[in-house]
Amino acid sequence: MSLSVAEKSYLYDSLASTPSVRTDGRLPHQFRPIEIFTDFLPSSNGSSRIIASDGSECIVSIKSKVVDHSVENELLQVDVDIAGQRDDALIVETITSLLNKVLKSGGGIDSSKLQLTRKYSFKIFVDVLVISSYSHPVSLISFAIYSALNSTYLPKLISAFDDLEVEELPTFHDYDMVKLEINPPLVFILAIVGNNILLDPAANESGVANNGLIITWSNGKITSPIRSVALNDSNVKGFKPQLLKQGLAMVEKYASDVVRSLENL
Amino acid sequence: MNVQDRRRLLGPAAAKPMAFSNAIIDEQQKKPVNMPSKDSENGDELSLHTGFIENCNGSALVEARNLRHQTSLITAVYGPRSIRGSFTSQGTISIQLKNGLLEKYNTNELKEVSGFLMGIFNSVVNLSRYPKSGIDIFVYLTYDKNLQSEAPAGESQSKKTFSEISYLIPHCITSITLALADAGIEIVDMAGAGEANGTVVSFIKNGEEIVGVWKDEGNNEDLLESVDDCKEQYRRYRDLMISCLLEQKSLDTSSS
Amino acid sequence: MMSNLQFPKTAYPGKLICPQYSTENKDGEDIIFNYVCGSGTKLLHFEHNGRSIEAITATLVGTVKCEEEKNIDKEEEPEADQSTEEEQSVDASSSDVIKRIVKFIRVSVVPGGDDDCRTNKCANNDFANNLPKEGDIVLTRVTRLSLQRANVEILAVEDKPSPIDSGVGSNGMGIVAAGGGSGAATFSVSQASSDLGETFRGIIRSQDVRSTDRDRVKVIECFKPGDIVRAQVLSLGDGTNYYLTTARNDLGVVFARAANGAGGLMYATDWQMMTSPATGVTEKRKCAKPF
Repeated sequence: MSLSVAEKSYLYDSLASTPSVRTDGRLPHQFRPIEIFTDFLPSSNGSSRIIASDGSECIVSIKSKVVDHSVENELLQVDVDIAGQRDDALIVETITSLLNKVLKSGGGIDSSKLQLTRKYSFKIFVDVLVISSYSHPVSLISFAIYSALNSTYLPKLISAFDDLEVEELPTFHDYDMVKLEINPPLVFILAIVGNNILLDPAANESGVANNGLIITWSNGKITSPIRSVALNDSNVKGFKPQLLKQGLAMVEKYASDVVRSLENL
Repeated sequence: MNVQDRRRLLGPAAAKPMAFSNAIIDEQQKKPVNMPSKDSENGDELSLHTGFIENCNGSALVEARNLRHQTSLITAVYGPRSIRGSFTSQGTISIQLKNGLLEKYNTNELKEVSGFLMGIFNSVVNLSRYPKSGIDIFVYLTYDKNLQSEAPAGESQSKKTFSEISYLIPHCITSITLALADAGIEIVDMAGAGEANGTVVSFIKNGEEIVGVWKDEGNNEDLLESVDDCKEQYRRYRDLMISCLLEQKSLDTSSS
Repeated sequence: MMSNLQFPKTAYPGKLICPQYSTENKDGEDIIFNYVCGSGTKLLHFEHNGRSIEAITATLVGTVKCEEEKNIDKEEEPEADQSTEEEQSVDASSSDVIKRIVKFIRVSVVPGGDDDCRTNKCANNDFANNLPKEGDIVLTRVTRLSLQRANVEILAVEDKPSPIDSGVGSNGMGIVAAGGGSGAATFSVSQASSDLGETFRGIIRSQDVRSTDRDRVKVIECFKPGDIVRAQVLSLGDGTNYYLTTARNDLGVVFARAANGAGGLMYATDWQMMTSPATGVTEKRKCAKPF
């Protein structure tokens, strides 16, 4: 769906007015309804499927592997596949790189939660498939990753924790699983239109936005990475420094509500 | 020309296949358009050159060195050129970042940065002047070294691998802006950026407007202070860029 | 000086040149200077101390040039139409107060120094801002003919410095810039914005070849491949082609070789005939008036 010049100008003016008027009647901080299903892929440790109200859809699968953590530095690895995009397309590589930074150990992720023994850890592979997307999908993907990681069960260790002296590989219980308790960060995307900030911009809003912000939220506070992102290539402009502050404040105010609703699945 | 190209006449029989000369380094030494400057506070040294690559419309070389980091990168601007396909009422920008001799950054991180830079320059270039055209910008990282990592080697390994690219981004922005100005492509302002505590903020209009924010490391608390530090650096870089361009221009007029 | 403002002599991107309007009272007449953006400038919006200002800003490095728009004489220009209307409306609203004169001044930034910028360096730089636009006269070469249209490639925009790295050099004919010109630029484009870049292309439809008897135009009797044609840009056209016209006396074929390029150069004898002086052979073309 592409808008004509006149439609875009109308949409821009209504979004940039005070208070901003969004086409679907949402408040600036309001999300579109999303549907999430979890734990439906039998062959993976955790999975989720998220559907946004505009038909954007994304599937996340979590798999694990036992690795020697003195060799492997990164215990989470994200791989993104977007339907209709080449693997080396700009959007795919950008999102992959961004999500790997979001989920890197030491930042939002507590890597001790993945440690099995003194020598070995679980390495988590997060495979993302975006089936359809109309606006910038990074926020949707991060919600899907969040709910998938929160529904992930890993095999229970039955061998000893201290294996530095004894040369033994970790052994696992035959059927008992342990819930993975990591608190993955969430990524929020905001559109800047004029002097207004809009959370969760829809496709038409992204099309006229002057700029965008990507803000990461983890454990009750804003963390890096923080980015500005051009949501389109025709309407991009600079923005005032206060808007950055406002955007951070908006995420700070409403992110915990989003976390709560995702936890109550 | 052994390449079969049926789409065009290949020219006279004596035509040689195109090859880029390796003599770029000699070129830049010949051209005395050099603006070394030193900021005694941070030990910042910045050297800017423009217009030293012959076969592109605009080029810039930025060499920067401070206590922590040393970088040198070359930017080349090609275009505006005709693009095929559907009608576009304004120009399209593409930016490619390339690892130089040292394969330091992985490709999707470089792609992410080039996407970020495209976002910045989409708002800086006066695109409406270039309908149906494409502008290609290539940034080549010739040299990039973290000087600090040699001294405290034991510091966290993972921290080093990630944050380094944020030292690089302000210089990428400087060199692309210079190359665009050198190419005579219309830009609304000299875009520049500064880096503080892992935060990179890019400004236009004397710091009144932000065109890009990039933060990979650290927490949010110091972000707003970093913005002010970045603004100060941006102003310094911008003044340098302007004096470099004006100096080059006056050289041009004296030679003509 | 025609304006009451002091312009900066040299400019660089982001340099404020002047506001959109300035006024002056001279001999009981209000003179309003309305500054119009020329090439190398853009009207930008600034906010300063809470006030918003529109100001003309430089977008290139170069010398500031301003010239008055003679809008009264040339009424056919769209900009002139607009300006006279504006003038009338201003007069109508305040006809009985004092006479107002609105002067339009075009502000542009020209790359290069103060002296006439016709140096090579300058020409090279300048093409970036000389893309063909509506109304421009362009020189083109015919690449392909069909019953309905002639396909051409645009070589240069007239009265603008001709590009070194674009146009002629792109397909191996003519003088090629060091390293292959823009053709070379596009070979190295790995996954960049476009496919193999070529020159800008255009179409002259058979209806646009001449202004009389336009239904009976036979394209093959007007152009031959390889002819150099002077044409005017009608519109930016579609993604691939500019739409061009030769429906004017001074537009049409300017250079052509006899016998599909095998013979010598021909000269126009009348508006639809060209003759080769060596052989005396005549061929049909839609010629441009040579003088």
